Amino acid sequence: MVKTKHTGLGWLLALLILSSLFLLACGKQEIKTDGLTGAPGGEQVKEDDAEKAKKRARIREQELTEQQLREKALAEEEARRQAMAAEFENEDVFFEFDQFVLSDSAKAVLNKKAKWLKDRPNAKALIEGHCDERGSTEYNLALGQKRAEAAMQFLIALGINPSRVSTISFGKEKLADPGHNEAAWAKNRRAHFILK
Amino acid sequence: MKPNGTKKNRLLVLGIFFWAGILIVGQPSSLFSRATIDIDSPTAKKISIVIPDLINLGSGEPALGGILSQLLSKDLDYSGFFQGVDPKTFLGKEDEKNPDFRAWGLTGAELLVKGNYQTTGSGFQADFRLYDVQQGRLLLGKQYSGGARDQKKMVHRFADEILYLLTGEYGFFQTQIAFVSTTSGKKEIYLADFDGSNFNRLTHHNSISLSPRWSPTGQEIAYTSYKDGNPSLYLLQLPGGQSLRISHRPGLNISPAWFPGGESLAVALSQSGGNSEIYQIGRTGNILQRLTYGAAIDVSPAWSPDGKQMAFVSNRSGNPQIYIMQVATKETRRVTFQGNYNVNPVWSPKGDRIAYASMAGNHFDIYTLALKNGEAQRLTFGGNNESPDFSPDGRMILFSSTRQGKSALYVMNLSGANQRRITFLNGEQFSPSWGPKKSEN
Repeated sequence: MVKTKHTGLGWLLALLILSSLFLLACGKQEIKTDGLTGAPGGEQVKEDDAEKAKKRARIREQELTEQQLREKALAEEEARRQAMAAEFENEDVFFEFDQFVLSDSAKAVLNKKAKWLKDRPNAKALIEGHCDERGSTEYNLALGQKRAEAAMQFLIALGINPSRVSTISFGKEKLADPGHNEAAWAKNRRAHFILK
Repeated sequence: MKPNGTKKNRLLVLGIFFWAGILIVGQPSSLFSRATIDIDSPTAKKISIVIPDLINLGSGEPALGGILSQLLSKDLDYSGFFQGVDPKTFLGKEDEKNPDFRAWGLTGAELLVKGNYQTTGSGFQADFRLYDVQQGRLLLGKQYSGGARDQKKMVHRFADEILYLLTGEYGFFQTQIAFVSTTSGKKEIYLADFDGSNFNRLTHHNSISLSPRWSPTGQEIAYTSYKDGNPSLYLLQLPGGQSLRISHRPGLNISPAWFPGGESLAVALSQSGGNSEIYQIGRTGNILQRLTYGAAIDVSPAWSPDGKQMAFVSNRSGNPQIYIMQVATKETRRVTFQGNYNVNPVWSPKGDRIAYASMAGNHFDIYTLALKNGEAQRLTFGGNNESPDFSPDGRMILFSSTRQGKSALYVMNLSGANQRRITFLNGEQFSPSWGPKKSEN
């Protein structure tokens, strides 16, 4: 009958048979479970599920912690790097007006920079030359270059490999202090150091 | 059309005849013989001029007559050579064809401009006549036709014609200026008309862009920018604003100065040594020759109009001073001796003087140096006055000043007279460069 009638009705019939088979199987399992362990068995299943859920939660929790640890380590590394950079970058070398000659205090600062660089053989530095706001854009660019160059040559003379230091002049284009007085000008006439 | 054409020719012939008369015979107009002699002198009396509203001959915008006459007044006033007379002081009878010169004379005006305009379809036509009031004569007549957009251009052209009649040279009423402005928060290159109007931002590098310099053809602006890291040289194409990098050598690539004609530039490069030296480079950045040598800073080149000499700044004496080099022999002499900080040299278009900025007591002022006798003349007082550049006819100087607080752009006559502010933008304006005359004159 099923074979002969390949119709919608036939499909429906097939579906009915499959459904009843499935129900039968379920019924059998239920009966089996009931027969073997009774009510506690049902609880056991529930407990297993809870255990699994807990485990999943624990795994997830652990993953989060590892992520946090990694982030924390990165942040610490960054803070260490920043502190290290700050130690190197925060102290400028200052110059007199229209001068690029290194003063004794400038040389003392550069000695510290050289030691710092020697202690960290992988560190590379960019030296920025800056000027105060007075004077022409172009002359100050040239003067800033001389200041950066003077600082770099001093470091090289102290044994820093030339490949580890480079220069750029910003002339009067990046003032540290925007004031229009000698105090501001003195802060602006500088060589500034940046780790690359 | 025909009557108009005839009239135009008649006016033109009259204008040319009259001007030629002054030039050749040295004859009548006391006005113009005086003017041509001492127009650039600081004590020169201004020429009084009255410009009534242009008359509307047709369906043109009625308010336009006043707008255009005021624009012409503004142009002439900007030049510093003219004193405007209020047309309301005229008490005679309006007569388009035959001006009542006696009544115009009572206003105190030496010159009178009458004009009219009409709209012709999508076109626009304007007619200007310049009269010598005392002589009761037509000096100059011009008729312009074009589109509605050309209205202001027509006024600027007639202003240029008036200056031409007065000086024998076209003025600057059709020129543009380039400069640095921090309007956007960063230093970018801007463009504006000669009077600071119609400003336009040219670069959007969001970096530091400096030292714009117009090419002699007016088709490019050379400048320095940090947009690719170290200060490098670029050519900005006009129109369009496309930027072409021409020198990106290690260190400094700064301070461009166009060689006359525009085929090459003098620039300052530091290369690997770190010291700024002046080189002549081609338009694509290739080095043609090195011009300065030594351990001192050499920067800010400026060519003489014939290209045979170059002024520049050097600290070879211990502080920045201006030097002039004979380019062929490299023979160099120092030309500034007052003060310990002289910078920004720029050669006048006539070649007879150099303008520069000099520091005294922590403040900068603009000076001119007469090359024939080495005499320096101070032109500005108050604030910091820097970065001078000459108008193409050499009669005016454009510069930056902090006299009113933030740095803005100003102009003045060659004598230092008639100083006026021309930029009123947000932020600060620096390093102006005055563009060349348009070739259409």
